Amino acid sequence: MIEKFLARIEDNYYFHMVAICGLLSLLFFLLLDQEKRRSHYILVPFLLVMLVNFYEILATFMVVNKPINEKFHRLLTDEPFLGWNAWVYNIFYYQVSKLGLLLLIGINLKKALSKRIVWVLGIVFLLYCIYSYFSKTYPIHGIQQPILYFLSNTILIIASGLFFMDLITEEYYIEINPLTYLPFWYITIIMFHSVIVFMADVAVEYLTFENTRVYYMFNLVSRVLYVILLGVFTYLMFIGKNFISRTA
Amino acid sequence: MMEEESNQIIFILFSGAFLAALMATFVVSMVILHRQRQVQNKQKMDQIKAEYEKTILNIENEIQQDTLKHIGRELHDNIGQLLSLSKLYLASSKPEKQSEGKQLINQIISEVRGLSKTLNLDWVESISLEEFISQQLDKIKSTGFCEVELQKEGENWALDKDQKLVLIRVIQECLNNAIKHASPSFIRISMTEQDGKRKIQIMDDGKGFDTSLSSQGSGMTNLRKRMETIGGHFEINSSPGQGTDIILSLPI
Repeated sequence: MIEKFLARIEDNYYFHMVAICGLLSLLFFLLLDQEKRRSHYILVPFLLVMLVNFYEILATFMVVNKPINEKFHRLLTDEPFLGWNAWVYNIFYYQVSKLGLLLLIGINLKKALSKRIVWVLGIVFLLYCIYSYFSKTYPIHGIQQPILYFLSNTILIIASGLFFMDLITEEYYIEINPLTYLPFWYITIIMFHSVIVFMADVAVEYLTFENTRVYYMFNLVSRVLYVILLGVFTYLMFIGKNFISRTA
Repeated sequence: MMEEESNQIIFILFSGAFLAALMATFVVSMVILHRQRQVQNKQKMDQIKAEYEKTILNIENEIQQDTLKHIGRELHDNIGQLLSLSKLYLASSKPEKQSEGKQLINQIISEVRGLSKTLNLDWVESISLEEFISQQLDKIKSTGFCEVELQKEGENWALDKDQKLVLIRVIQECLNNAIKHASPSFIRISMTEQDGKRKIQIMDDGKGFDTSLSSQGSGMTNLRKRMETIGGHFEINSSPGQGTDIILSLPI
């Protein structure tokens, strides 16, 4: 089983990069003092890096270990088992990690109204996730989840927009140089990622079966941006603060 | 079929590049807008700082002008008289008169020393606001113009020199206005601390005035602006026949 797992990830450079970021983040996080570890600005990015590592390992494991995958599949649905690991990504990437990213943007907002909007977006998204699971309109084990993909990217684009509105209107940001402010960079990457993969995510079923070259191209872009995002989070763990400069 | 797929890929690549460029433009615009806001804010801060310095300078000048007037009066009415008297005594052949003349000279020396201390603004730092108010009220009382009262809660307030300068000037101005225009029989000043604020209330039972009249309000506007330069607040309540109630508040 382990051989199969290792063979599966052997030439998966995205997996390697995610694992490196995960290990480094864990190391840097453990080296931080208690106060910094408890800070939302550090803890949430750290948990997101760990989450990505978790679901990537789980997704690969579900491919190499079909019996366990089938057990999980049976827990989630009565549909016939096709050997897919899409449910891992549907739950952990498109739902949990998107909510995590929304939370991360939310804690970086300063305006009370913006925070409220993000709360509402998060609750609406969560309610839809619960509804879609129980209504079985779009089965959780399948790749046909256009509304979920649409909503997950939309909430992040709106939340990123709210952050940029805060940036140009709030007193807090007046003395800050955004180029040395890490939340500015990771929220920019989150926005880039959400905008660029928006159409590809919504049309993922068509691309997977009808135009695999385009699917792989978008997949590559998405993975590159995600690795950059994880790299920024890892750097955040390394410096232990939101600002790149020493004086901040 | 292959050609159609290539065209699709090229179209998607262009769309992706366009989207990325659009996003990049958006982010760069945000950074530029932020920088512009920083520049505007800096200009605004510089302007506020310049206005603040100008206000403090004006107040210092006004206090020095008052001090010079006071010294002029003291030289003419007090020291001049004492010098003339001591000249007479010292010119006398009687030893007891000469002795009195020498005592007068000592008194003059001490009066001049006292006056010289008021020439610069160091006295502002050495005196507490409570002491200053008390001195002002004592002066008014000593003239027999009206009755006065000072109420104070708690310990002495720790104020920086600029805050004290502005408060001293504003209080002086309020008291001058009351004496000149209101003809009160009673003036009360109370100093309190509540809700994270220090409050000085100057109350008189004089003629009062209509605060909505612009001719009456220009001096008040000046006082209000002065209080705002030190982060304070100026509030006035008055109506004809009802006296005047002024509240100066300053965050702790």
